[in-house]
Parts: sequence; structure tokens; C-alpha cells
Amino acid sequence: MKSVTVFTLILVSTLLIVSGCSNGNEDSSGGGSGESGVTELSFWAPFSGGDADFMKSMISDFNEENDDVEVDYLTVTDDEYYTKFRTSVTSNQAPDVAIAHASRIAELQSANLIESIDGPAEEAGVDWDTYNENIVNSTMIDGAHYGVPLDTHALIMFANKTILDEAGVLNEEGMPEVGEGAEGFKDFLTQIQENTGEDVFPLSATSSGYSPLRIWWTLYSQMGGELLNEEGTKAAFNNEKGLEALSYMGDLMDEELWPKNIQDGGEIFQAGNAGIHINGVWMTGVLEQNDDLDFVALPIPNMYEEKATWGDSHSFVLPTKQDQSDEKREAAIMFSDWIAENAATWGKAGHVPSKPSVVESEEFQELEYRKDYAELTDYVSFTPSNENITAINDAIADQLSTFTSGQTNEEETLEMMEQEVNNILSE
Amino acid sequence: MKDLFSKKGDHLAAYLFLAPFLIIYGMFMVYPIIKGMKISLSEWKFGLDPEFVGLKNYKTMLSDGYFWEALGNTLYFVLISTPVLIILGLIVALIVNSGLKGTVFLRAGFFLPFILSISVMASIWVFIFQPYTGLLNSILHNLGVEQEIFWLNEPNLAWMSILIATVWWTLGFNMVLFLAGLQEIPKEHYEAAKIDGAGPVRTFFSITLPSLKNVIVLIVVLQTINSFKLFGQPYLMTEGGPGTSTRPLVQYIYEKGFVEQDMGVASAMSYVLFAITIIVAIIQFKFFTGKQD
Repeated sequence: MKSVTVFTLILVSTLLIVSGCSNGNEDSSGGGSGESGVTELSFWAPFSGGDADFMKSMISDFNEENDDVEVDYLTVTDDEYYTKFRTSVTSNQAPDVAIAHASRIAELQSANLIESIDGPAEEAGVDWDTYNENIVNSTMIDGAHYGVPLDTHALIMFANKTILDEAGVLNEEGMPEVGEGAEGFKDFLTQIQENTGEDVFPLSATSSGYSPLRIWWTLYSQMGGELLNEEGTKAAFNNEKGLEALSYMGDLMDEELWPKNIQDGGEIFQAGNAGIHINGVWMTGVLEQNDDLDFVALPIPNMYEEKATWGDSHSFVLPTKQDQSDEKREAAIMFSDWIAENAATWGKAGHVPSKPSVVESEEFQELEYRKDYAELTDYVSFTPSNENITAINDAIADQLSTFTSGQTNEEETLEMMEQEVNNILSE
Repeated sequence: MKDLFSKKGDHLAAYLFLAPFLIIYGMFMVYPIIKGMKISLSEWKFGLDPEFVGLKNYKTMLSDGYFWEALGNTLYFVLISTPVLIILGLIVALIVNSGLKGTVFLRAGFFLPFILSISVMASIWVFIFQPYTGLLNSILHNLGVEQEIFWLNEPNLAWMSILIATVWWTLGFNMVLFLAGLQEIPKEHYEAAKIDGAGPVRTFFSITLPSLKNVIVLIVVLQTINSFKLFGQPYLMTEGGPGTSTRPLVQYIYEKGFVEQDMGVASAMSYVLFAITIIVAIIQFKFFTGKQD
């Protein structure tokens, strides 16, 4: 009988330890402000490399300047970020404030994972007029604010001046001389192709993943195209404009101006083997570390009627927390607004700050490269606000990389894209 | 059962020792399996409350072309990878076991890749296979091949690349298992065979192979299960591409669950994979042990 007692004891104590753990966690997450009157905020962001360093330095500046708020920053790896975000909210372990991409806001909001920030923003005295209107709109749903935008990171064009000079397509100011419209850009690339060595890539952009999607969206947006119908219930891109954008990409590949199946376009450009590279603004911070590379960073030329380029925005959001105090919410928004106001540092990472006053500030204007493309904040084309946008983007990206690897033609690809998107929306 | 009650004390002591394991096993294996079953019967996104929908997720899954494509891809990989990995594993084990000079070095060399993490392994092979700047294409260009070969962007070549990387990565494990089996075969059997005048080929098929029977069953089953679990190699090397042509079922489950937030369908697909793997493993056991009689 002795062993039975011991067995029971062990069982009970194990269970106690196990249940004890979960109780303990609830206690710690439910806690309000610290003892000394300092409001402690936990903050999550998916930044890595240079981005993370600049964010850390901004946060330490903030902590120094604000005695009553202390922000504790945690970097969560990019791949797992939104999964962790979700699980943290459902298990009531969410941070007080977090970064989310503007494109994700509708998705997060529809799943109840983030809160509207209208109340706290008013309390904290956020003046939305100090933000760029185009960017702020990308963080709103039905007239309510869900995020404090920090920046916009858009697709831009990098040009290797050494190669362009060799090809004779630089003007007197040392800027690329690109002709008018889509044809002009193609001629420009052809000139690079004809006047430089065989191993030079006229255009190097990654051929798989999100890169083709971003390029297609840029071209399509320049024609004023819409991704979805107004109600957000059906795909609206299987039309002449969508086809033209795709055919144009196909032409560039067929003529080997944009060679097929590039695994990492940035690497080729960084090695000095490409005339033009198309990628996000974040590449600026990477490329400028290479002293041998003489380059400029510019908005993607206007191939069609309208100015537009793919872009997204890092925004501060408030994860849903049931027992959250209003004090913390307000502090979180105050912190977000402060960082946005002092985001000239953030510009070093390549991103364009969301406040025009910051873009115009001396500190930002003194940075090399950035001011050449900062204008794009006004016409960045965000993907529409839709709760299924990630699935939609992934489906389109898959089809487009099938296309860029030469497995399907333009019409089939567009057809498949439409079918996929409609499937997702009808679920 | 009779035994259990007659020597009650002894068994309780045993269960006592097992208790910590059983509790953890129950919490982290049995409970999640049951919970997964429940999720597969409901519609659930993180953050929202699950809603019971019966077999709807399974219906959605069966009518989803991508599910069948992904399942087909996984089965295809099982079919091409299992025999290659087993036969090559045996050949390599025989070489290493032959007692020639340098076999210690070879043994370490064959096993070394196995200790790499999958991301390191995939980065190495992407560096080798990638077009324009990859190692393999650079070598081919130097040998006078003008054409750019897209190892990772053409469905058949992509599968071959994934297979080569997988073989390089996991062959060592099968080799070690075979090696252990080989070293357990009594020397006397070989001596007897020699006396009977058997050549090396005859010795291999009459002595070595039959003696390895149990090891072979083990490796076939383990290898098949491992191949069914294919995920990291295509995910990191080809992103399941071009398009979706090398996307295995596990990757699709991951994307359904954690990207599209459709936990119900993702769980349903996991159960299908679970069932298929178990059925195949049982068939293999039956097939091999049946022959023994």
C-alpha cells in the first residue's frame, strides 16, 4: 500500500506544478503599471539586422527622455512573427504594443487580434494631420484607426552608375536617362544589354517569392488597376491592364533583359553585375555598406499613366488584451507617436518616415540616397484592405513565380490567379 | 492482466517510475492528438472561437486540387527517395565495412552531413544549385556548357536537386544502422560460405542480405515515415516551386494553418497524412514479417 500512496503523492504534486505554471502566467500578464509609478510596456517587432539596431537605439532614446514610461523591446523572427502574434493574443500573453504591417491590419482586426486605437490616440493627443495621408489611410478600417504608421517601405529602383556610364545611359547629373513609358524603360535596358559585357544583367530582380508580385502590382497600379472589386468579394484584375503588366514582365524575360530564374537579385547587384535592381527601400541600407558600389536609388520610372509603386507600412498596433488598463493603452500610443516623430534614425534603415515633417527635417535630408525616393510616400499603392489579403498575396505570388519560371503563359497565369483569388474569397 | 494483479506491488513500483514519463507523454503527445482531432472537426482561426462543423473540413480538403497535388508530391518523393536512400545506404555501409584503408575517414565523411541543421544544409545546396552564380553552373560554364541550367526552377530538375540534397544529408543515418547490422553478422557464416566455395556475390545474397533482414525492415519503415514528413528541403530550396510543383503535403498543411489561418482544414489534412503513414507502415511490417514464415 505504501507505493500507492507515493504514486498518488507524485501524481498530485506533478499536477499541482503543472496547473501552478499556468496560474503564475496569468498573474504576471495581468499586472498593471510598476510599483515606482513607471508604466512598463512590452513591445514586439519583426525586425532583424540593421532595422533592429535602429529600432533599439530609438527605444533607448525614448526611455531616456520619458521617465514615466519604460519600453521593453523584443525582436521576434520574421517568419514566425504573425503566428506568434496570434498565439500570444489567444493565450493572453500579448505585448502591450507591437509592429504590424499595414497590409495585415484587416486580417488581424477581423480575427479580433488588435483593438481600435481611436480612444487612446485621442487621449494621447495624436494629431493625424502630421502624418502622410496616403500612409495613414492604409492603417484605417471603415474610418477607424487601427495603427500608428511608422514608415512606408516601397519598391524602388537601384541603378549601378558604373555600368550605366559604360552603357552611355547616364545624363550630365549622373542620373539614369530613362525614356518615356514602358517602351522607354525597355530601350534603356536594351542599351545596357548591348553596350556592356555579356555577364552583366541589365535588370536583376528576384524571380520567385514576393518579388514578381510586387513588380506586377507596381505596373498594374501604374495603369490604375484594382486588385479586388469594391466590395472585396471578387478578383478584379483579369483584364487588359493586368495582362499588359504581365506581358511586359514576360517581354523583359524573353529578351533576357531580366534573365530568368534569378534566385537573389540583390546579391547580383551587390556584386556589381547588374545595371538595374528592383527591390524594396530596405536594400538601401544594405547596399550602401558596399564601398565599391557606385549606385543611386530612385523611384521606379513611370511606365504607364499614373505614378504608383508597391508598398507597405510598419505600423504600431495594440494587440487585444482583456484586462489592459487605459493608462497602458495611452502610453503605448504616446510611445508610437514619439517614435514616428523621431523616425529620422529609422530612415537610415532605408524606410521613408510617415511624417512629412520628419522627411523634411535636416537629419533625414542629410542622409544619402533616401531623399531621392522620399516623394513616393504620396503615391505608394497599398494592396487593398481585406482580411484574406495574405492568402491572396501568397496565391498570386505562387502563380506569378510559375509564370516567371516559364511554366505558364500570361493568359493562363492571369486566369489561374483570378480563379485562386475568387476561391479564397468565396470560402 | 492476471499477472498484473497477482504481483500488484511490483507493477505499481514500475508504474511509479513510468509516471513522470506518462504524464508528460500524455500532455504533449496524447492530448494534442485528441485536440487535433477536435480541431479538424471545427472551423477555427486563432483569436476567434472554434465552431463545430462536422466533416466539412474533410469535404473542403477532398475537393481542393492543391491538396491532391501536395499529396501526390509527397507520395512521389516517398517513391523516389526511399529506394535510393536504402540502396545507397547499404552500398555505403558495405564500402565502409570492407576494412580497406581510409574507411574511418569515409565513415566520418558520410555521417557528417547528418549533424547539420536543415537550414545549413539547404543553404549549401542552394549555393550549389542556384543559377548564374551557383557552384555547379559555374563549373559547367568553365567546362564549356553555354546554357544556363535552372536546377531549382524546372519541376523535374527541382525534384532531382531536392533528392540529391536529401541523400547527401540523411544517407549517413541509414549507413550507421546498416553498419551496426553488418557488424553483428558472425564471422563464422562467412568462413563457412568460403569453405563451401561461394563467391562474393553469392555470399552477399545468401549470407549478408538475409542476416540484415531485421535491420532492413527497420530502415524501410523509418525511411518511409521520414520521407512522408518531407517539408524543410523544398520549403527552403525551392519554396515549393516553381509555383506549387514541389510543394509537399506538410508544407501545404503549414501554409493552410499558419498562413491562411485555416486550422480546421490543416488539421484534417494532418490526419490524412497520419493515417496514410500508419497504413503504409503496417503494410510494410506485414509484408516483411509475412515472408519470414
